[in-house]
Amino acid sequence: MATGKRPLLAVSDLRVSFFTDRGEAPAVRGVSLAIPPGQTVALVGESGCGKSTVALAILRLLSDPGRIVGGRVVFKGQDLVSLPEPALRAIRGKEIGMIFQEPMTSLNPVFPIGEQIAEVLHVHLGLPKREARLEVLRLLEKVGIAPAARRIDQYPHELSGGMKQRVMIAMALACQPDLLIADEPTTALDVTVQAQILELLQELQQELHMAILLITHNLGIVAQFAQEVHVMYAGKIVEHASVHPLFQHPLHPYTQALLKALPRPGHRAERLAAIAGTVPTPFQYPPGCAFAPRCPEVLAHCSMQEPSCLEAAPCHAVACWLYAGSVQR
Amino acid sequence: MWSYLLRNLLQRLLLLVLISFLAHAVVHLAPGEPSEVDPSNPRMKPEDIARIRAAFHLDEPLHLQYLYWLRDLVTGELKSFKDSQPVLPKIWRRFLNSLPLFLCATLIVWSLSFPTGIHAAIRRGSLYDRTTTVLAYAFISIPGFFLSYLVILWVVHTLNVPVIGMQTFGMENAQPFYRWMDRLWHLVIPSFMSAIAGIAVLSRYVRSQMLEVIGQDYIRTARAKGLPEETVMYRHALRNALLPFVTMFGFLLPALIGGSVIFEQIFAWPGLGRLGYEAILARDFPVILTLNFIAAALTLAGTFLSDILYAVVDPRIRLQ
Amino acid sequence: MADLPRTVAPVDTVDLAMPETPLQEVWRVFRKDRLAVASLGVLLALLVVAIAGKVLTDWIVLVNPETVRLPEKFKPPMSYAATELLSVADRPPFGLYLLGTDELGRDVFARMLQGSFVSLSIGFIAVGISVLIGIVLGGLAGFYGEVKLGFISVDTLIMRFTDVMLCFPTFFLILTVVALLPPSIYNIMIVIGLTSWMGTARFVRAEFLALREQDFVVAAQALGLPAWRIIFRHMVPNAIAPVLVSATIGVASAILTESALSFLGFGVQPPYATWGNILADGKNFIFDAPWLFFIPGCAILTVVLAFNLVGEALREALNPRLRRR
Repeated sequence: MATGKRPLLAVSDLRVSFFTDRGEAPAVRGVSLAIPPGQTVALVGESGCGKSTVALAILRLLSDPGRIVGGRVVFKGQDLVSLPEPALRAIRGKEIGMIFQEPMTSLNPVFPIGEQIAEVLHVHLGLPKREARLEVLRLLEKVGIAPAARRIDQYPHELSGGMKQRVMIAMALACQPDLLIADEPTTALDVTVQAQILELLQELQQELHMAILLITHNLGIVAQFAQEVHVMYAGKIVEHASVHPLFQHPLHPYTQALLKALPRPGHRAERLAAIAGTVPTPFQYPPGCAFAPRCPEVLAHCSMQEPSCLEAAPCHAVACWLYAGSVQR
Repeated sequence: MWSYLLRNLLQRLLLLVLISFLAHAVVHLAPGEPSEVDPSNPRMKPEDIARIRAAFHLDEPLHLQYLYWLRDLVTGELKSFKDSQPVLPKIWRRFLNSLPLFLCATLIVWSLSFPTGIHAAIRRGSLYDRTTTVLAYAFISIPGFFLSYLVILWVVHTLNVPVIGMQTFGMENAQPFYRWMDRLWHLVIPSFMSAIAGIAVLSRYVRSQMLEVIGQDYIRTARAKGLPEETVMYRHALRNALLPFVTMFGFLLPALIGGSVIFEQIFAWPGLGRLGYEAILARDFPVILTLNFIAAALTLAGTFLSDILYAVVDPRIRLQ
Repeated sequence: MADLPRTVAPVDTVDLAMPETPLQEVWRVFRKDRLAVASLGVLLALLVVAIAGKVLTDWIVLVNPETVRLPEKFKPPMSYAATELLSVADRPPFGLYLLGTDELGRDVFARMLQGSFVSLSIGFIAVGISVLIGIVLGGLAGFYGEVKLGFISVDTLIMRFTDVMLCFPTFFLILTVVALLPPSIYNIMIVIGLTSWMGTARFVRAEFLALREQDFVVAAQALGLPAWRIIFRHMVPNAIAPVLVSATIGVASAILTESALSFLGFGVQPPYATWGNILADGKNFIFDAPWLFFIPGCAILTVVLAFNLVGEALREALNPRLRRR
């Protein structure tokens, strides 16, 4: 945890709801997390748990029915939730870069990729055309797109998925941001390409000393890549720890179940354990702890009252009634 | 690419022949003939009818009639049944009358519907959006001549804008400047009235196209890059939303003939639409068929053009 | 690297999604559009009026749209009939001309009543014809597209024919054919129907092409179900939503086309009254008897608008991408 150091980004009690014709759907219900400078923090959870919504909410990129209904997102002392739009725009793409899950559809099909990268340089750094182009060439080479001189004028449809994600990375890092939000950056890619992209991200992180908020459902990536992990379930963070404690001694039954579902080399388990039941939808969370209906260690108490997030071990917080007694107040 | 264009062109020529033959069959197989237009005319004797039928090859089999028509069209010998004037110059004169009306109306449609539709999409759900939506549906739903008559009523009562014909009677000898101003003045109401339905339809289409694009992932990317909202909308979104409209050029040209019948009739505008209407009344087959032929040729040329334009503006499409 | 379980079989937990049939879902979205609900009300009322019109003017002649009362011409709406001049049979109901009389002293209310049935049936029958042709041709092209007829595939044949039809200037074609054929209300319906099926055919084909690749159709084929059963049980119901939308809007445009034909003098001929020909006749008396022009004009506007709004709201409600909003 970011003890001693001031976090670069601090999200506190963030709440996001989708206002649909079937009523308000609270997709994010009070998420708090902190990202120290230069570190990688992972946000993990099954699809639909609200992790991508958190990513979008940080930069206020939520689209129509989604709205931030509470909380603060403090970045370098400024609250992004209440920041006026022009000031926020100066941060987007310049100090916080973002890459998305779908490189296929995230690039504008009618502009050459070079132009799309140069746009960032022009808007934030005011680079004129010629210099922007030189910088784009340099960026393309840096993210491993060769030959850059030929690729720069190509259109997105002429590039493979991995290439497109490299372009997205070049675009997000063009202004050397302090924070990169990577929303499932490798989910849509082939496994071999996934590894390359992650390697690239790691290299660039070292070079630029930037922090990364890594959003993923893939625990393998987390183990390899992140320093801290937040596990999210049904719009809430249920467990938070550094990577090693979390993988060695998971506390929350949900995290335990997730880890049991992982295949391990050397252990020829007869079957991978699946988690019973389905992820609840934001329209109807179960009462009490949202995981209670699927929890193997459920207590009578669990579906009555929601557990709050408590520090069960040093630097290891968990929201579960199992540990409520062991905590000294 | 050239082989694609050539193949495409040949296909279209084949289609054109098919269309003209079909039109020929429809017109000739339907009951009613030029000789029957005025059966009560006492000067029309059976031998006259026979002579007319022979002169126009009406007794020959259908395919021969078609070939006669085609031959005459190509050689420019085609004559109207009604007044024995050559058909092509006749159509050309009317075309020149229709052209300014068509150009004005098209200009009005395109210059008004795009801003309207784009703004409605950007401010989806706003008062502006809801108002333009209801207005657009109202204009789509109102019979054109009903609205035109209402406007004519209002205009002749309140404003001094001419509503009938192409020019003021007796202006033929005025100075060129006044003559031109007079003609322009006469264009105002007819072009606006024939544009209204087009504005309504096109602005709805622009709106839905724009909404579709605004929901795309790359718009979110553009916002995440920190671009100003105007750049996001007018550069990233608009460029994509405009692509399909290139294809609409293709369907613009045939409106010269088909779309103008009603409005040329209302405003006594001696254009192509009225020529067609008069030809239909007189069972003037050569004029009807040639107009139809030209309309089909224009449509085919238009779609051909829009195919090429699409490939030019959309980098994803390559002609092959 | 391993992924988390993304989908897990539901065991005994409560099914959290609200149970809702597709129809209920469509209705829920549709209901939100108040204009569309009002329009649906207008259309239902119109249906009642049209049926009443057929019954009252044709079967049990309570109001006779054809009664000519020359002394009573150009009476404004809500004026009382001069009962002493008329025989009992010629009197309007309650001695009142609800919507006035026209140049022959005919009761406009009675004519509008009769016209509502005729106009509506023109719309419905024309659209019925066009939808039928569209589904059959589009379905054939989409399902049997690869079958060869000599040197040319079914799909090519049908779609080229569709292209040919699209190249005709539609209104001009309708006008030509209607003008050449003997004037009859059936000819008008048929001609409008025969010249407006191309859009339906195109998207039914597109829908069928997409559906044919879907798992449930492939599964049905693998089970050896007969083609007609696959088409009618599995594919048509899935393709019907866009057809419904375009049919609704098609009725609106058929009513407009009829009125435009009437304006040019090729519409439904007397003694049949349609809203289109009442309007077209009314334009000649726009100064003397404005109600002859405004009543049918506003009636057409209202009904066509209602059809268009219902069609658009249906499109919105049936569009799965917009549903989640």
